[in-house]
Formats: sequence, C-alpha cells, structure tokens
Amino acid sequence: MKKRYLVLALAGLLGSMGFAQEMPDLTTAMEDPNGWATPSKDFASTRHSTLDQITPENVGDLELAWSMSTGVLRGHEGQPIVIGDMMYYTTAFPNIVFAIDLNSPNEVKWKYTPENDPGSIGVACCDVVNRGVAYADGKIFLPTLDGHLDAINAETGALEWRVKNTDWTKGQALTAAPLVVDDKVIVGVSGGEFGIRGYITAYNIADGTQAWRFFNTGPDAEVGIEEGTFKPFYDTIKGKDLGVTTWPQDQWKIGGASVWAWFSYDPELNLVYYGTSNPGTWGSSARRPPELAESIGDQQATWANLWSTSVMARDLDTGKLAWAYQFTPHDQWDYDAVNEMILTEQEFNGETRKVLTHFDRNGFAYTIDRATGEVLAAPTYGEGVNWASEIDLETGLPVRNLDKGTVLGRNVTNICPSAMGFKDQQPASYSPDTGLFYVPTNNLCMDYEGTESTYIAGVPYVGATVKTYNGPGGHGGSFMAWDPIKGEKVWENKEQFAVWSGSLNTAGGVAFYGTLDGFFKAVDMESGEILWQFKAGSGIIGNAMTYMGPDDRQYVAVLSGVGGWSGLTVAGDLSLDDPTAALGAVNAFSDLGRYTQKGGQLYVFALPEDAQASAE
Amino acid sequence: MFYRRSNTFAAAALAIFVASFTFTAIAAGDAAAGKALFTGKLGCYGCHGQAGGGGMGPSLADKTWTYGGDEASITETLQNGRPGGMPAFGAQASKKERADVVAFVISLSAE
Repeated sequence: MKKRYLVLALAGLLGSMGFAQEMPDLTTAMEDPNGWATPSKDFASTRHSTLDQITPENVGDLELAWSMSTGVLRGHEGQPIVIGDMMYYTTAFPNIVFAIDLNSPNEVKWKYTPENDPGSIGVACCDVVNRGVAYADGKIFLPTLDGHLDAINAETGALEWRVKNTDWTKGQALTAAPLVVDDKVIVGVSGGEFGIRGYITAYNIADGTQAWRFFNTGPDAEVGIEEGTFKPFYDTIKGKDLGVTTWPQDQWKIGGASVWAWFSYDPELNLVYYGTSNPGTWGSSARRPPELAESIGDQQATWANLWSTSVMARDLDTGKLAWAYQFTPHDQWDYDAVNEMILTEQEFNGETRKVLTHFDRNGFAYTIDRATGEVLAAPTYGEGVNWASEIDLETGLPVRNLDKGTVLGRNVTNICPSAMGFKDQQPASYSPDTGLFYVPTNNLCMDYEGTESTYIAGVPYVGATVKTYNGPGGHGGSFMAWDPIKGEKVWENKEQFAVWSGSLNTAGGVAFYGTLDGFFKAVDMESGEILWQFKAGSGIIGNAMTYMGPDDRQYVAVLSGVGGWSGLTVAGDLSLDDPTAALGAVNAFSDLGRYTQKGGQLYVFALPEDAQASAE
Repeated sequence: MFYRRSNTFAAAALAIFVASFTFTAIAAGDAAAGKALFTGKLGCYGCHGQAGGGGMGPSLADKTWTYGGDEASITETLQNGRPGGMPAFGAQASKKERADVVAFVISLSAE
C-alpha cells in the first residue's frame, strides 16, 4: 500500500516537473535578454547582447566552463541558440543536432541524427557547413545538407515533420540557417557554383506545408514582382521581366542567384531581407552577348543578370518583392551579395532613417534605406578595392574599372577584393551603445582566368580558375570597429589569416571573435585591445554568442572546427601544390595546416564562480 | 638448330611482350586530351582543381584513393559516380573521352 502511494506521489512530482518545462513561443523567447533565441540574436541581426557581467576589467579572468565534442571533423560555421535553460546546435555534415540542458551541461540531453544523403557532399562548394538551427514554439528547425527541412521536437528530439526543399542531384544543397517569423519558417538554397536557379521558400511551422516560394531569376511572376507592389528605387532596375531580359537567351534558367546565408526581418515594414549569390556561371562571357565578349563596356545595366548579387526585400506574408537593389551588376568576380543585412536607425543629414547596413563581398559597405532601397552611402571598407572606383549614388551603379573585368581566355591579375570578398558570410555585429559595427574581414586579392564551362547538372558550373593571395599590407584579414556615419575604421586588429568567424558584442563593453588558426579573442570595444584569448583545438569559423546560465552567470560560447571555403586546405584532403584548388583558396591558405588541424568542439566560457559572487 | 629455334621463340616472345605494351598504351587514353577535358568542358577542375589538387572533391594528385587508384577503378568512378558526391559521367563523356580523362588523372599522381 505504502509503496503504491510512493510511486503515485513520485509520478505526480515528475509529471508536474514535465509541465513546468513547457517551451516558450518564439516571441517570448526573443524578448528574454538572457537567451539567444534566433541564429542572429534578433530580427535585425545585430548579434548584440545586453548582458554585462563580463567587462573589460574582468574578462581577463574568463575560463573554460565546459566543452562538448561534436564528433564531426569538417567546418563548423553557425552558432548555438539558447531558449530558457536549453541550448541547441548542429554540426557540419551529417548535421547532428545536440540539445543540452544548461542545468547539467556535461551531458547531452538528446541528439538527433537526420537522414542525410552523402551524395550532397559533392555539391557543397565550400565545405559541408551548416549555419545553424532555428527555434519556434517547441520545435527546432534543421536544414540538412541534402536539402531537407526537419522540424524536431525541442523537448524530446523526435522528428515531427520533414520536407524536401531542394534536390542535390541538380547541384542544390542547403547550408543557411532558417529564419522563423510568426507562423513561417523560411529557408534558402545553395548552389551558385552549380548553375542552379536560386529561390526562397516559406513553410508553415505547424505542419511543413509550403506558404510561398519565389525565384531570384526569370519572369516577374516567378520572381514575385507585381506592378504597383514592386517599387525599386533606381531606374535601371525598373522594367518588365528584367530577370529574363538582362540575360542572353535562356541563361537565367541556370543563373545562380542562390540564397545561402543570412536573413533579417523588419516587423514594422513586414519585410524579410536577404542577399542573392553570384550569377551562374562565374565566367561572365556566357552572361553577355558575343559582341561584348572582350568587355562589358558601359552595358553593365543592360546585361545586369538580375536578380543575382542583389538585396531582396520581400513581404513576409506573400513573399512578393517590395524593392530590390543590385550591388554588383553583371558580376565578374563571384561577389555574392549574401552577407548579412543589419537593421539599425542612423542619422543622415539631420534625419533619422531606418536603414540596413551590408558589408558586401565587393569591398563596399552599403547603408540603404530599408523602406525604399535608396543607397545613402557606400564607401569601401578595405584597402585596395580596384574593380570599381566608387558607387554612383545617383544611378546606384558601380563605376567600374574595365581593366579588372574578367574575360574568357585571359588571366586578369591583382583584382581586389578576391572572390572571397573583403568579407564573406562571417557576420558582423552592431552595438547600439557605441553605434559601431564590429566586422571580421578578409584582406585578399586574386588573379582570375576565365575558362570554358559547360552546364552539366550536379557538376560545378564555374568557368574560372582563381588564385587568391593576401592583399595590401600582407596580412590575411582583420577584426575592426567601423563607423557607419563617417564610413571609416575606428580601430583594427590585423590577423595572419582571414577572420572567418562571426562577431559578438555585448553591453558589458567586450566583443568576441575567433581566428582561423584557433584563437578565440575578447576585445575592448572602445580600443580594440585584446584582453583575453584562448587557443581552441581547431580553427574557429563559428560565430560567438552569449547567454545567461541558470546559475545567473554569463557564458560565452563558440564552435571550433576549421573548414569553410578558406579552411578547405585543412578540412578537405587537398594537395597543396595546386594553388588554384578549392576555387582559389589553396594559394592563400596553404600554410594553415601548420597552425591547426581538423576538429569539432563546442567551447563555453565564463568568469570563475567566485568572481560573480564578489561582483554582486 | 635448337639454339636458333629458341632464339626465334625468344624474339617472338619479346615482340609479343613489347606489342602488349603498345596495345595497352593505345587502349589507355591520351592524357593530353584528357587534360583538356578535365580543365574544360567536363568541369572536373571545378571540384578537383586545375591540377587535380582538390577542393569540393578530394585531391587526385596524391596516393590516397577512396575507391581505388587503378585504371579500372577510376574508369568505374568516372562512368558511374560514387557515393559521397562524385557524379556519373557515363552519359556526358564518350568512352574515348573517359579513357583520356582517366589517363590524365593517373598521370597526376605519377609525378
């Protein structure tokens, strides 16, 4: 009799504990300053945390609190997310998802291994990375490399639904972190190097049915352009079916313009912002008519190859385009426009404007009115940009240096930035406290030879041989603070290698970034002084994040595991005496293997426990 | 008498031996033609680098072979593809073209 009562009482206790664990909806989760509920911290993609326990005065005492191997040895881009007391993160292919209860972080609460076709490995241009899982309403959303979107129960790790978003046999992969807003989860598609036709898709969170999908090339109806709804700011992008007519013949059908990096969202305007990749093929000769074979001349707008290398602003509910702007018309250098769009308010000529800031691959830092698509400023953010001398703010068009235009059969040397850009997908952060951006950059230039390319589904459609090397000054990259109003560097930490990891900044006054050779660094946001660093087991291409633990201590976490495009010299099994291998990366990164090796690990840091007590 | 016959026999054997090499060389592909295909229209360089150093795909210039580095294995790989991302080129390239590419690939690790 007594035993039965004991069992019942215990069951009741456990049951009530279960109910107490109910997962919050996304809005509630995002309002919690202690968490990190979406990949980019917030819809504006600021990667700014209001947590301030860690300061320039005490960060020197930061120590490793706990760590967990991922068991995977390819590049780990992306970042963990934290909702309440739960942390979730994923790995490089095979994209295992780990759930950790932060009350007992030395064990894994659950682990989910998706079905994931290894054939997709062959269509991932730049290592088999994943930029993160997303959360909403008790579900974790995982994009798998082979093109599925899995909705996983956040408490149990059980699969709730899965949809096939992309077809890897056609050169399409999936690496971007999803964006969840309201009742929709939005995903992209990768494959700009495979002649895919890029698109963006919204699914209903509840059951995975498709809400909308639009393409980034082709006729207006398929792109989501409607007269009266679509209002681009610049004349050269006003017109009918520009996603067809700015291409020769049917080239738009294999025109790239994929969606492989970051999304932002403005709740007031109800607009989703993202950038599109390079056009298909890299070799631009195929994207302009034969009479212009030698040079695009002054025809960049006519043969702009829309809507590649553009920022797109789509209505969340319908997917239709409100406006767009193209950063690099008729791209000849692989200047994907997929880097993050950070949403802030800035003063311009005495007026407060709602803008987006975008550090493009092409070396220019754009400030754009995010309601209208007007470019307010576009200075360069790195040394030696030479494919164009400036962006003409009247027309929105770059003023090109035609001698840096790439051509079939010719090797054009010393083009800056390289195809990797002065920044690639590694995200910058913004602090509303300082008004500055904290930007991880590449200092890379290239030689680019146009070669033959034939479209074969599932085979790279590139048409270029590239050799990348360090740019002016000889260093590989830097981490800098950038003033968007003055358009200038406030401070800069030069690094040996391109800084391929994303930045975090905090109200405590400390910013974090990781280096390709494995140093995780904390810097004073005012001066850039490096106040603390930790040598991780493998190079860092993940994005730092921070959260408040259940013990009221601030933690900082980052994934270590070298790879990505720049780290392929270590993560891939390459022969380093071919400088053009890995789409040009080998030449610039051939010595990376002296400094780091493959790995896969989550590192989590905090101040010592007694430090918290004495601070209070 | 015996000596002369064995001489003839030896000469014939030698001739057949040499001829078998020549025959193999003709049946094996033309590495130079293979290089043109590898770095051009078949797009191999896109995954494997202009000199086979690798990238999206593994290096073909080293001694490590996931699916075998002998001529028959590489031919099979090229014709039918392999798990882990190597596409099938059976339809994209003729038998002669495939043989040429295989010859070029073998030459990359012979250096």
